[in-house]
Amino acid sequence: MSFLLNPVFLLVLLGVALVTTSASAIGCFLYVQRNALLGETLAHGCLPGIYFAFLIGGTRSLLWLTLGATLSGLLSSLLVDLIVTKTRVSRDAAMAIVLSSMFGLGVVLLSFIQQADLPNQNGLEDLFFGNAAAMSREDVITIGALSSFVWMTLFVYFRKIKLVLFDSDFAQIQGIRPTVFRALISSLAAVSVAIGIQTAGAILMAALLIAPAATARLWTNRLGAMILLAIVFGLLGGGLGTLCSYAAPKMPTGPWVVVCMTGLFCFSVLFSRLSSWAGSIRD
Amino acid sequence: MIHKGPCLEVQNLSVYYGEKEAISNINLSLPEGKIIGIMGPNGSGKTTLLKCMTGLLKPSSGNVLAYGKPLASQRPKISYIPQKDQVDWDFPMSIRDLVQMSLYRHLRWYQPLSDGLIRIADEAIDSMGLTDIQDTQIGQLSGGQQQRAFIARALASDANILLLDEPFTGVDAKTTDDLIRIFQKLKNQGKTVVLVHHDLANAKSFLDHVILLKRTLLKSGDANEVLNSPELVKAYGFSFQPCRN
Repeated sequence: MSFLLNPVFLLVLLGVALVTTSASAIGCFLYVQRNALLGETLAHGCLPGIYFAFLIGGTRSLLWLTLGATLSGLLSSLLVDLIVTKTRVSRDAAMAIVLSSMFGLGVVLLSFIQQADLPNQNGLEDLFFGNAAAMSREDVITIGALSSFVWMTLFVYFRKIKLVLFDSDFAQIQGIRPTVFRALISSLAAVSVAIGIQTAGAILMAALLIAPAATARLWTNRLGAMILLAIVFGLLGGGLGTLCSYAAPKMPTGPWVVVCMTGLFCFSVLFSRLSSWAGSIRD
Repeated sequence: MIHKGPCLEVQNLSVYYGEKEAISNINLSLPEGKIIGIMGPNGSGKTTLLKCMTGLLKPSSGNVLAYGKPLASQRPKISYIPQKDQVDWDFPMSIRDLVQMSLYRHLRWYQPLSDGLIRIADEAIDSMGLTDIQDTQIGQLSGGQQQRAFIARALASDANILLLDEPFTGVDAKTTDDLIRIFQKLKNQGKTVVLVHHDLANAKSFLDHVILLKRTLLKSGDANEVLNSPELVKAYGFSFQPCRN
């Protein structure tokens, strides 16, 4: 356990914690919006944006790649909405089409980058499953800044977002524009996904959004408490996952984080079933 | 200043969904402090008219005035209670959260609810007899309790006009009676209750005023007069005589 005081380990732990806090918080809003699969669309949809940003800028700066990822993720989300409104294709089918085609486009762009033998491309192939261990100090600062931005925005607009998500008609009568706040949630989700791609990868990132939210929902009936609990579960899963990946050398962090979060979810399901069973026996 | 005219006026209102006409050239005035039913067969434009009265639906032509002024300037005086199946009952929210939600417009993002606002919410919850279960998640309530929770939200927002879309759908006879008693209590407090209603059998017993629609306005006026008029046959294709026990 000597790695516990290793500065590299602590840096990765901090980066994972920052990623999971914003992902867990925004994940709660997606969960109550019944839009959990948006995370999947954003995560798969951000890949072409990352590689496109690299092709334009020639840099692996996380801020630059995050910008590309966010725009590309949002484009995917808009494409899904466009297909649903303009055609007879259902939302789940539209999501399946968009996320798989964007993922495919990402793979094509990565192959092009690798064949062109461009400089600074090391690590770009890690974005499918993530490589948290490769996080630099600058990366963690970028993640911290963007995660704080997501946090502050959610905090400032919490009441309005809650109103819109629960009863958009009532919100509209109160003078709130639901479309603005739905777009805000999608944008914040896209930023949260983009900063987490390096940690969990495009394939697993959606789990960081939804697993803590779904776990927290099993423990509470209040939205505020659900968000706080989701962050606790996110931090627990993120911390345990990072520890496991360092305790077992050459194990990737992202998948371990997802496995730990799933473990917490399973424990919560079991606990809630047992407590309702105990309650029915008492009655 | 006390407004003496109608609480809601609908002027030359038409709504088209694409090429399809939903309601056409509706003109009516709604009296204050009454229970008003919007009635008509399926597809007659009842919900469309109600949504125009809330301001949620922009009419293709015409307009709606509340207390003689444009609807947008009178928003706090109007509250809308949606159809039961349009609400996400699994949303993590208690009755108290739901009612306090109507007071958010008084607050900036950093301000907690003041003692005064908390008291307003508590009084609204109490007036609907929900104090003992105010921390219960909304999905765990009975159909009647759910409707009462939404009415409490409207009361806390200090709305004078309550617009309800089919409040009796999916509730049993006892709950229907309870809700009617609540509407009569609200009327006695000077509130105007406008609701989309289907049941001709009990309409006369509690509605003061009826708006009869079939895409256009067939008749609007005193409930007894409208429900005994030939326009009822025009709307439904038959005359209605309630059973006498």
